[in-house]
This record gives sequence, structure tokens and C-alpha cells, in this order.
Amino acid sequence: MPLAVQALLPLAVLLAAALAVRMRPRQRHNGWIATGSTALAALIGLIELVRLAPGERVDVPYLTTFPYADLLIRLDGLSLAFATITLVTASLLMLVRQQDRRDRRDPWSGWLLTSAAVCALILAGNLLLVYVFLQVVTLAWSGALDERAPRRLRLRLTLQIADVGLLLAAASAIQSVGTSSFSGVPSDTFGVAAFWLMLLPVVVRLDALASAARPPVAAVLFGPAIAWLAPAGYVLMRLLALMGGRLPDRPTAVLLFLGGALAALVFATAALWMPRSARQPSWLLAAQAALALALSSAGEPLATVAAAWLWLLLIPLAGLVSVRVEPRSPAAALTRLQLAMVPATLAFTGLVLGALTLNARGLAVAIIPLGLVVFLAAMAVSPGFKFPRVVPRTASDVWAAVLVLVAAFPGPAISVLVLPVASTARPVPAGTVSTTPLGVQTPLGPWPALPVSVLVMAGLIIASRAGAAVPDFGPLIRTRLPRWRAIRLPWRRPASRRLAPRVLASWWSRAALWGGFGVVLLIALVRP
Amino acid sequence: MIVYLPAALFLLGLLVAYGSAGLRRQAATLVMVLGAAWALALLLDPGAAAWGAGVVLATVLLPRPAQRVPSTFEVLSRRALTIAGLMVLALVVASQLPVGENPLLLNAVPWFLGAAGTAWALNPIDPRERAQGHVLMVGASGAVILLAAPAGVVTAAAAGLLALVPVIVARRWVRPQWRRLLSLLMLALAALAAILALTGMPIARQSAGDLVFGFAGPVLLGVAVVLAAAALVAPFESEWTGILAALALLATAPALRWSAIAALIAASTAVERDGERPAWMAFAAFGAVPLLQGLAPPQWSSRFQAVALGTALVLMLYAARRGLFRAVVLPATGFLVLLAVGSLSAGNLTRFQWIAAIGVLVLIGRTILLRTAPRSPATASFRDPLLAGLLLLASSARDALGLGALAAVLLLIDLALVRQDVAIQAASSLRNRLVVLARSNWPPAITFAGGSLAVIAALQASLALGLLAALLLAALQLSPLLDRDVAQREVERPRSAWHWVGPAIAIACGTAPAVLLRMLRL
Repeated sequence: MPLAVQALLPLAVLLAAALAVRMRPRQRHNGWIATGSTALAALIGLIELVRLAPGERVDVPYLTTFPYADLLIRLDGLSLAFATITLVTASLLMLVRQQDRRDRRDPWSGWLLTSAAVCALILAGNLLLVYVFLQVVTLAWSGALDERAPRRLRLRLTLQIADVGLLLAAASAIQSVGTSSFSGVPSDTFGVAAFWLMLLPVVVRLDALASAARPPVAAVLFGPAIAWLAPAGYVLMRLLALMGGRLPDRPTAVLLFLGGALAALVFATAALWMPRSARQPSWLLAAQAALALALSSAGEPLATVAAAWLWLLLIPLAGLVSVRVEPRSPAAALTRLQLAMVPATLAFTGLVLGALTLNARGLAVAIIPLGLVVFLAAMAVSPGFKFPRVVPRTASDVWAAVLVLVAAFPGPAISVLVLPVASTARPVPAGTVSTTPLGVQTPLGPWPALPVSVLVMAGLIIASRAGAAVPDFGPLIRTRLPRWRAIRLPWRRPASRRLAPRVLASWWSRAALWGGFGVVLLIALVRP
Repeated sequence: MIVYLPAALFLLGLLVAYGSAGLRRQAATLVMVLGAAWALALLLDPGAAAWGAGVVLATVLLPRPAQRVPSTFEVLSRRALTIAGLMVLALVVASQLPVGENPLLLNAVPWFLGAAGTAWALNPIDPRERAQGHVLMVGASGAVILLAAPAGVVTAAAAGLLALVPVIVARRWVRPQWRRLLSLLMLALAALAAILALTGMPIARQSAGDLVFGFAGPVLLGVAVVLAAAALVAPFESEWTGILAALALLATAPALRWSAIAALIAASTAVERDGERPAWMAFAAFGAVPLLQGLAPPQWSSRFQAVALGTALVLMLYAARRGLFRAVVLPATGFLVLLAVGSLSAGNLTRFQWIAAIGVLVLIGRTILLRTAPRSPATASFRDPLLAGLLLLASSARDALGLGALAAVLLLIDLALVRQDVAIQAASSLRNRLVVLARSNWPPAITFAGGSLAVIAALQASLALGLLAALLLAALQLSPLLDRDVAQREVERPRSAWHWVGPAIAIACGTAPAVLLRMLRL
């Protein structure tokens, strides 16, 4: 099959499925069509990833309809791994939704279009096209064709405005080197300002994850994992790849690390402070994303592997958090466990690899905030945590169990998904990370994931059977922190009264406006 | 002595016109026109007097009522002051832009005609005088530009014939039953022009006598845009004005080109008076460009041209809020600006960019002032000045690959073709969804493409312009939130079965702007 066709297959499958469900609205099997097609697209992505040689990058051009945003698909480890895991998560979300018989709504075409848009974004081959597809993703996810629609208005506008940062960075690349294509941009193209501009879409989406992700009233929320986290993680890793795996300078790296660590501390503290809040899972998820952001700043190969691990595996975890589960089900318990970031979780594996790197570089003190976040997250999740007695029965239960298994056996995920992403972002020398049946082996130290996972899970199961709940240390900490009092403003602005001072409404203001225009005209005339 | 006779004739006619009514006044106006034609014949060549034929005919077709219109002392004073002030201004301008070694009073006669027309249009005693004022303004614009860029008999006559346009509008000679046929014809011509532009086939200049039509650069695309805009979105019974706009783009002679624009503005103000004065001021600035090219000393002519061009574009964007101004006049003048910007030197381009940047602030500042005015309904939307600002920056960003010109064209099409007036329910039908998408900032709407390309082009020009364009684009995303309370404008055109065609064209342009780049023939 020609490469030009192969590259388009995942998109074609998703779009064909979207068309099919659109033409037969409210049919019973639409859910299975959506789930099956998304899974098929994920499988295609996985096959292409496996067939790709290590370090191989392929650009497949199609046509140019938008200047500098050539329709160009980029096939490399980074794009294919992210596409695979995103589509797997999307298909799992659709499966869970399909199994919920209580909700009669028909979200399939919207979800398929959102998945297609995210897939197109991940496979896009130049920065301007990524910017275009970020907007398409926001449109597809929100469904707000009429921009005045009140649903999630502020969030949509925030995303649209933040994405302009990426446009500016693409424009600066076009001005410097005449292209924004990934293969045409040298690693020294982007300076400090361009880096922070490109980081804007990432930061805003992580903030959306924390502040805008509501607990699922419906069975499934599609946006947080697929429309926010996946694009954010991908854009950041692609940014690192464009910069050769290193940030523009050391102060930027330090700032990014400190910012990420601080954000993680804030989110974890908020989760501990309000344990009964329905947003606690979102805050803990955002804390993990902030830690991934912090680890992305380190320029070492192992740290890049750690960041890639965190970003990739946050996507299915975010999907699991976006699913409404029964309170005492295995899925609920295992999700809380993953959010606690304790040993035997996905996040802890990544943090261990990151900590090994920081320690080897003589930055052991930087491990302290990471450890503190883990501690706070564990405290936040602890109240009344108990392992359920029932075995996994539903799709979300199996999903949660699989994530635990991945944490226990990280080898396949690292070999198939994480290493291609990391080695696209920067060169990863052979031997930087190798996998064994017991865990991960690095030159800086081992991580025996399997024994640790077995010990932790065994301990939790034994404690649960013995009737002991994990003690709640939260109140001890909460009583020692000052209470936040709401500050009441003594004056409320009447809604109908405009605030503008009188001078703005008088003719003086217009005269000043046009007078200023005239002055500039004069200056333009007389300047040499 | 003979060289002073045209001025004497003109002044005599002016005095009699102000002091009489009916046939006598009409005859006096004819004498004024004949004086201007005689002046042209003496200043240029006898063939230039052919210009007068059209203006004379237009004046004959605008009879005056036999009874004088009663007026008050205030009205009379205002009229007297207006004509006196404008005549003095005309004299000063004529003194700065002399034609050869001719006496000042001879040079000033065409300017006097323009001053008289302006005075009657500014302070008319009745609608017919206003129409007569427009006739003289259109005629005078052709005459004055002929002084700077002389042309042959046919061109001069054609420029003069355009003075009939205000009469056509006043008397409604274009019948409603011709409207549909005319619209179809214009759409077909627009499609033909677009196809020709797309093929990239070089088309030689075509001439009819000394009347020459050029097809180079963005002219063909401009013709397609103005004809389509006139046919689809111009106010009812004004669709034929697209032909004037096309004539302005195709004509190579400045006199004919700018007379056509003046006629277009006169036709627009007959329908919609909002923005009339800034539009005429913009026209004066536009007209200054060929005048300065032909008559001003070379040491300061080029910088004044650049400043005049920038000022004209800002004023036209300020004036083009609705109606025919927005649908036809703005795209026509926008394309003419794109043609002119290409020939600016680097220093003059920087002047133009400065004016564009300050123009952005003025347009947005004006909207803020209107929205903060107490006890006034919110009628000014933020979207329009933001688009206008992006258009200014894109026009001023003359980059090697033509992205600035492309962005400017996309934004012109957006401002002209995509209407925001009629409320539509998005979910009601596929056509309505298309219209809602075309009005939005989402891809593939033309606003998205034009705004993004404007940012890229502006950054190529300079960092400051690029950042300003990015700020405008970011603010544009907020415009749906800011404009939620804007009072719905009255509908300018009855909704027809073709209301989706304009948005469909806009979306097609936004999806494949590379095709438009090819059609620009840069």
C-alpha cells in the first residue's frame, strides 16, 4: 500500500465512522461502530509504530491549500505513540459509554470527530498546521459552531487565545528559516520568547484540566483526556523535539522546573485541603501533569524518558478519571490509588526515573518537592481508602486493572511506546534504560517495579481484608494551616451602570483620538 | 486675458446659481460646468473638454423647482461660510499644485467646481441640490485628476459621463425587474474573472481608442470580488454599482479610475448616509496620490503619497460600516491600495506602516468610546474594527511571498461578503450551519485564515507589527463575548434563496487560500 494512503488510514477510518453514524442517527449499534473504528485506528497506528525503524522519521506531503501549512503528515515515534495511546483511550471511553444504558444521548459523531481532529493534530507535520488543528479540536470537542453559545464559553475563548502563542512561534520560524515544517526547522530556531509562547497552549490546557474538568455527571467526559491532556502532552514533547531535547537556556529550564513543581504542590495541597470536593481527582491529575512538565525541563536522556512515560500514561489515567464509576468498585479504588502516586502506580515509576536523573546530576535537593507532592497526594487520597472485595467486572474495572499491571510490568510500554517518543525528542543512547521482567534498569540505578507493586498491592489487600482503612492524616495537616476567609467587597458594581469616566464619553476623547492620529501623520511626513 | 475668462464665467455662474431658482439656476450651473471644461481645454488640450459632455448632460437631467426653497438666516450663513471656506481651500490647493506656468485662477477653476459641489452636498437646501452637488463632485474629481494625468478624448469623456451616476440613483433608472438578470450576469462575470485569474494566463491590455483596461496583478481577482459582493450582498437595487467598482479596477487611466470611485461613493451615500463624510475625506486622500504624482515637486511628493494612501485607507475603513460602502466601495478601494503599496519605497512603506498601526488604535479606540458612552444602545461591535485593524496591518506588510496581500484580500472578502446582521439558529439546517461557520473565527472560516496570515505577514514586516496583529487576533476571539449585547442592525437586504452563497464562497476561500494566492498573480 502506498505510504500516502497508509498515513491517512487512521484518519480515514475515523472520518468514515463519523459519516456512518451521522447518516444513521440514534441507531443502537452506533456506539459499537464508534468504539470499533477508534480501536481499529489505534491498531493501525500501533502497527505503523512497530514497523517504523528506530529513529526513522517520514514526512508524507499531500497538497498545499494554506500557505506554510502544507497538508503534511509526520510519521515518527512521537506522533505514532501519542496517536496510538490517545485513540486507545478514546475507544475505551466509548466502550464505557456504550455499556451505560441509562444515557440515551447520541455523542458518537462528535466524539469521532474530536478523535479525528486530535489524531490529525498529532500527525500534522508543521507548526502552523498544528495550530490550525488545535482550533479544530476545540471546535469539535465543544460543538460550539456559534461562538456565542454559552456552554464552556470562557474556557473555549481561553484556549483560542492561548493558541495564538503557537501561531506567533510558527510565524517566527517562517520568518527565520522560511518554513514551520518539523523537518525544516533547525534546533536553534526558537529562542526563549518563542519557547514560552509555544508553552502557552500547554499550560492553559493543564489549567483547564484542573479547574474546568467537572466530575462526570454523564457516564463519560470525553474532553479532559482526549481534547486537553493529549494535545498538551504532544505539543510539549514536539516542542522538545524541535529544540533538540534541550531548552533554550539554563534559567528557562530552572524556571520551568520550579513552576511545574510549584503548580504540582498547589494542586496536591488543594486536593488535600478539600478531600470531599468532587474536583479532587482533577487536581491530583493536574498535579501529575505539572510534575511531568517539571521533569520535561531536565535535559538528560533518562529525564526525557521519564517525562515521556508520564505524559503518555497520563492520558489513559485521565480517561479513567473522566468515567463515572460505582463508589466501591475496583475501578474507583484503583483510580484513587493511581492518583495517590504511591509506589506501584504509573506516576511513581516516572518520578523514580526522574529522581535518579536529578540525583546523578547533583540536584538531589530538587527531589524534595517531588517527594512532597507524592506525600500530599497520598494524604489526600487516604481517607477511607479500602480495596474492594469484588473482582473486575466492567470495562472501567478492567481498564484500571490494566493500568496497575502496566505499572508493575513497565517493560512493554517502555519498549513500544515510551522509548520511541523519547528518542524522537532527543537522542537516547543505547543502555539509558533497559527493561527486565522485574522492572527497569538504568546506569543510574534500578527500579524493581514488579516486586514493589506486588508488595504494595499485597499490603493494601491484606489491610483491607483485615478491616483496616488507611488512616486519615489529613485533618492533622488541615488544622495547622490558616483558614482562607472570603473577602467581601464593600461595594458591588451595579450591572447596568457603565464604569467609564465622563471624560471618555465627552467630545474631548474623540478629539484626542483624532488629534493623536493627526500628530502621527505629521511625524510620518517629516521623518527622514 | 482669455485665460481668465473661464474663471470669470465660473464665478458668474456660481453667483447666479446661489441667487436664483428654477431654469435660471440650472443654466447658471451649466455655465459653471462650461467654465470648467473651457479651463481644461486651455490647461491641457482641446480634446480634454470632452469631459464636460457628461457633466452637462447630468446637470440638464436635474431640473430645479421654480420656487426658491425658503430658508433661515442660520442656514444662509452656514451655506455662505461653507462655500467661501471651500473656495479659499480650493485656491490654496491649486496654488500648491500648479499645472505648468498657467495663471492661478485658470488652474483653480476645476478645483472651484469641486468646492461648489462639496458645498452643495454638505449643506443642501433640498435633495436635488445634494444630487447636483454629487454630480459636480464626481465631475470635478475627473477634471482635477486629468490635470495631473492627462488622457485622451475618449477617456476624458468617459470620466465625465460618470457624473451621470448620481442622476441614475436619484431617478432610479435601474428597474427592479432588471435586478435579477443583472445579478446573474455579474455573478457569471465574477466567475469568469476568477477563472481567468486562476489560470495565470497573461492578458494583454485592451483598449478602445485611448481608453485602456489592464488585467495585471490582483485586478482580475478584485473584479471577481466586487462583482460577487455587489450581486450577493449589496443593498436592494444597488447591485449595478458593482460594474462601477469593476471599471475602477480595470481602468488604467487615473482620471477614469478615481471618477468611478467618486461615482461609487455618491451612489452609496444616496442609499446610506452613515459614513458619508469620512468616505469623501478618504476619497480626497486617495485622489491626492495621483495628483501628487503628477503635479507635486519630486522631493516631497513620494512621502506625501505614502501618507495620503495610509490616511485614505484608515478613513475608508472608518466609513465602511454598512451598506454599499462595506459591500462594494471598501473592497474596490482595498484592492487599489494593494496595487499602490507595491510601488512604495522602503522608507515610504515604513511611513505607511506607522499610519496603519495608529489607524488600528484609532478604530478600536473609537469603538471603545462608543460602547462606553452613557445612555446609548450598544451598536458598535468590536469585531469590525478588529478585522479592519488586521486588514491595515496586512496591507502594510509587504512581504516577499505576498502573504500580506493574501491576508488583506481574505479580510476584504470577509468584511464585504460575510454579513453579521441576520440572526440565525445554527442547528436549524445545513445551510444555516454553513452561514454560522462563515461568521465565526473557527477554521475554515475566512476570518481565521485572514487573521492567521495577517499575523504571519505582519511579523515578517516587524516584531512590533506582528505582536500588534497577534493582539488583535486574540481580541478577535473575544469578540463574540464582547458583542453579545450589540443591538441587532436592521436588515439591509431581504433574505433570498442565495443567502448561503456568500458564506460558501467565504468558507471556500478560507479553506484554500493558496488558490487565492495564485489568483493574486503577484
